[in-house]
Amino acid sequence: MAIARRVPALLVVLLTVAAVTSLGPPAAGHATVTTSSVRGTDGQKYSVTNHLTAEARDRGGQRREWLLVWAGGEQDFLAVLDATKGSRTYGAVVNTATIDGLTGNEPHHMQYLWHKGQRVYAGGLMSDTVFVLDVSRLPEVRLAGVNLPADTPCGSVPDAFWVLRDGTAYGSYMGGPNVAGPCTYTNGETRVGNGFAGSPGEVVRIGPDGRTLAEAPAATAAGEDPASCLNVPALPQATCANPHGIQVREDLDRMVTSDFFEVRHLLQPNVPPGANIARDTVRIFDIGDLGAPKLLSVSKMPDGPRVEAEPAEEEPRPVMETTVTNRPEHRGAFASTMNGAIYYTPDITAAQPRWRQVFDDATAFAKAFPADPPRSGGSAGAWLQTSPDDRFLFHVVLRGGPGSTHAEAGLVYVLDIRELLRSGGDPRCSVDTLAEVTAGGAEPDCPALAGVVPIVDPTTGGPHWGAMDNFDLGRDGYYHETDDIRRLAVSNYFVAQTGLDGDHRVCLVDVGKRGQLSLDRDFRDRGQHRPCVDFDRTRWPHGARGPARPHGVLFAVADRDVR
Amino acid sequence: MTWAAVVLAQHGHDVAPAGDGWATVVRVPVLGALVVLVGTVLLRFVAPAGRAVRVVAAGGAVVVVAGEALLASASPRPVDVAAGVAAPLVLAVAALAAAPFRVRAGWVVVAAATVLALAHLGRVPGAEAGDRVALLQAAVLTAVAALAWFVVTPVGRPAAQAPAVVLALAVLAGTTQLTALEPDRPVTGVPQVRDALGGRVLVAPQRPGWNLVQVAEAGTEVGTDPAALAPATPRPGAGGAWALVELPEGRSTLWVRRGGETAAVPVDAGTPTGPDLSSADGPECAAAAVGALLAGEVRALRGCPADHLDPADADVLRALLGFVAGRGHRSVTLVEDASARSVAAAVVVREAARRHGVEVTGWRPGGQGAAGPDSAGPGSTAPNSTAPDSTAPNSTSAGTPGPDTTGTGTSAPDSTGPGTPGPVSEPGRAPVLVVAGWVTADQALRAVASGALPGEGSYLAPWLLTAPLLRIPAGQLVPLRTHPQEPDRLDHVAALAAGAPDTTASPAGYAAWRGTPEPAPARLYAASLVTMQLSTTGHAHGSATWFPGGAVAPVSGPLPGT
Repeated sequence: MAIARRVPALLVVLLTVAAVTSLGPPAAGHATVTTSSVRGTDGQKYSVTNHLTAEARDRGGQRREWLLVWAGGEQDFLAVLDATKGSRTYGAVVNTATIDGLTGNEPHHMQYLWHKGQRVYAGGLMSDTVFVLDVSRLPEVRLAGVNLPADTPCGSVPDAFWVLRDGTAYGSYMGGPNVAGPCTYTNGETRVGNGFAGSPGEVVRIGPDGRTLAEAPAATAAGEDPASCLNVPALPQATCANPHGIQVREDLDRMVTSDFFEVRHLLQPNVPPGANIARDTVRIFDIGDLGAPKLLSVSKMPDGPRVEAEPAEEEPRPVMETTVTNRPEHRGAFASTMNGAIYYTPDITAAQPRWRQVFDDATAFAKAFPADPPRSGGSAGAWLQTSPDDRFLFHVVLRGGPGSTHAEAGLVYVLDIRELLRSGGDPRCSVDTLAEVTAGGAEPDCPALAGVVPIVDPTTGGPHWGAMDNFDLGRDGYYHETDDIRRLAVSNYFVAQTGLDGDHRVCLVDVGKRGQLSLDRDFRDRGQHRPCVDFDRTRWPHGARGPARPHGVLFAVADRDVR
Repeated sequence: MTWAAVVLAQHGHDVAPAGDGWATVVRVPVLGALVVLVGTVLLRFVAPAGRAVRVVAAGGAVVVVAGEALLASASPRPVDVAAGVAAPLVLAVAALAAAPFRVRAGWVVVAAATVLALAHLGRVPGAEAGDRVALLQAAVLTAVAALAWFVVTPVGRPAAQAPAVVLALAVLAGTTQLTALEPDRPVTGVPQVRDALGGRVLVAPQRPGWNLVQVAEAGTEVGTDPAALAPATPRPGAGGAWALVELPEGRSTLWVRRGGETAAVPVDAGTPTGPDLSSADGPECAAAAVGALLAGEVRALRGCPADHLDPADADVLRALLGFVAGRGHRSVTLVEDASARSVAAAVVVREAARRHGVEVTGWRPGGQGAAGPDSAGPGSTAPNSTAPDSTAPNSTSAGTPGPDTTGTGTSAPDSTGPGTPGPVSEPGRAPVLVVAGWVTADQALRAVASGALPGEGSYLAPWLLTAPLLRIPAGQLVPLRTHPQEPDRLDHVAALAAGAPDTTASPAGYAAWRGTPEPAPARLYAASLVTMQLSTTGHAHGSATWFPGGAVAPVSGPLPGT
């Protein structure tokens, strides 16, 4: 009876506890919250808030490596994942550094590779904003600067970044000037543009504090072939200058950019049927004066041997990515298209660089699916990256060509490019027959497929972006930068609004000594057997904010842990 | 103060009428409790109520009041929270608390509540259509509470029970009306959105005469005569598909047919006529009506945004001229139409242009190109005129290099030297300033995109920030006082997605939903699609935004004078 009499009181206590719990700390749970902020050129305050979980805390001297993932969702954030091999929290999201206030950025790319001392440049495709992040005290992230739309009047829609030795960065801006009409760049030149997200795009040099240091035109003064470079509305001087990929050889004073789309268009009804809205051009700049990049050449990628039923799936368009070789004895660069072709030029310092097709994604598909390989037309190849030692060329392909068998399978593959680079300024390799499309180039200097791993994504998208792990844990217990790449990160997401989405997983891929690839099955969510970390989750360190879309990925280590 | 938690999402009668399951579950106990309460009152002549009966009857009153409030919250009816819910509920609960006892002073409460109920009833004839039901509900539920107190009060002479019998019969009739019939009825003369055929149907202004009906898909047929339905078609600047339907006075039925399915939507146009939504600006006006409905304002539509120029928008237009002049432009192409707002805006623009020394050239749709400076009157606003839909390929030929199919790069010609110190306009490429409504704006923007109207940027009046107009690739710039990604605007977009998903987010709808003007100075925002459709098999998804698939980014500081 005594117990029965206490039941009401017990209920009151329980209800009170439940009420307090439900009204209590935000969804951050036990996360430690810190905020950093900067003031933009518009006078507004912008801030980033860390939500550090218990797993982020110092482990008494154990040094850790992190994978940074730039992701969009109800609130956009930079996720910090434990990427330390052998860590008991391997794959855990230990921090989400949320962008406060400014939503709908559509987080896109960061720089291709991070080196100690560098800031992270993280671009918002839709917000036309670049967030400059200090990652020296990882897993904590601090906002160091912000570059707003009005800070780049001659360009819009930032895509990718390359950080220079002085800590500043070049960014590729695919879209045209904020206001249609003439725009004068910081070097004094003027180009006429058709407006925000139109043409021509530009290259912007951004300081580590987020300020615009220079805007450089990507379009020639004389214009380009209007039949090949559709601009809507039409421009007095047609241009294909919509730079997406961007890489730099500071030792050669050269920057290479690849052109993508005039990004504002739906296929219909804005452009006439059959019009070329995808670009087939690569641009090379002289960056002897870092503050005034000067366009030297515009090269069109040659058509390949495939004859596609759909002209939009021919090899040379759109040139989404480019990557430079790295060693002093090499001067070449590669470029890849979303329609399966990889091109190479041996010398980016040449006045008239010659590009040739040296590989087709179809060869990698044939290796992965010998019985019934998917087509490479429309395969949406994306991330392309040479290894720092110039042995390998890594490539990520989103899917098999539309309508193909295994169309849901994307690829990560690696080419051995040593023979091609050894050929110096006179390579022989050329994919110019249909047999070479699926079997690889016949010439002895053609890249050899060293490894391939399919990543099946049943959604409309698949693997799109990637990053190399350029760190190695030394015997001294510190991390050191390495040229010997043994691991890659890959994210399965493109841009949902294009109809190419993804299953929102982030995967790690191990790279063998000879380039053989295998999915890292230990990098997964706790309690799950399926490899890869899933960003379609309910809860994050910053609360129950639901699924997120991971795009840019980057390996990084806290300053104190790397030598 | 009136309030409606969820004013949208009524259910039309499919050919086989159906209602929400939960509403039916609520109605049954409400009507049952009503019978108990009224029966107790009527039977007091022959069977005095004991303690248990008093408790049950008073409890029934609580169920009736609470249940009716719940039903009203999910109907289009406005609810007077204080008089229609709180006061009757407090009275009924108090009666329930007093029921075990015999409260002789209860007569005072019975009398006061009856007077209060009659007072509510007395206000009905003079009230607006949207408020009449709320007053009726307040009167009936207050009377229910009065009956509850009558039950718990000792009865004196039988003659004293006569008014109670009358009251009980009135309550029975009134509550039955509210509970069983009223939820399915539209509010007389107030725009409504109803579920039908798996989508939503908007009817505005729901007044006698021509009304705009919006449905989700083009080709859906609507009308008042099931044998002569008209197909709904898209309208520039707006989402969904639209048809003009002539409604008779009073209650009638709107028929909606898609494929082989037909649904009946009850409408009640009342008697007085409303604003004219048959003009080109009708969808914008309908969007304003939806915004007000989402905000819980159950009011007849009295006017449309295009009826007058908001002084704040006039300030913004003056500032736009200042911005354009500051970029060195000496002329603008003005796109206007015949609406009162556009005419007034054009006057403002011309005055500002004169002050800045900027020449104004008129443009009229229909492919006739530019008229002479200031020679063009307001453009045509025919709602069914077609806009140039295709885009000519780039037609410039500026000595460009030919295609290079060999893969050999071409050396870029040296830059033109140090360049010019500031922007210089190309001759004949003046900025286009659009102060027309959605239809003419759509035509002008398509003309800019196709090159039929050469322009260096399309500067839009503030009321033109709708996704369909921003999707056209014409270098749009819009002055706004807040970022479209601000939480308040996103809340509005989310409310639209939930309550009227076919209605495009628009400044008119947002202003009606917000209710108060935005105080911040205006900045210029660039707007464009930023994504291309690379796959037609997948479809975009993600958080609600004002401009799905596009960007609206601030590109200037505060505009002076705004």
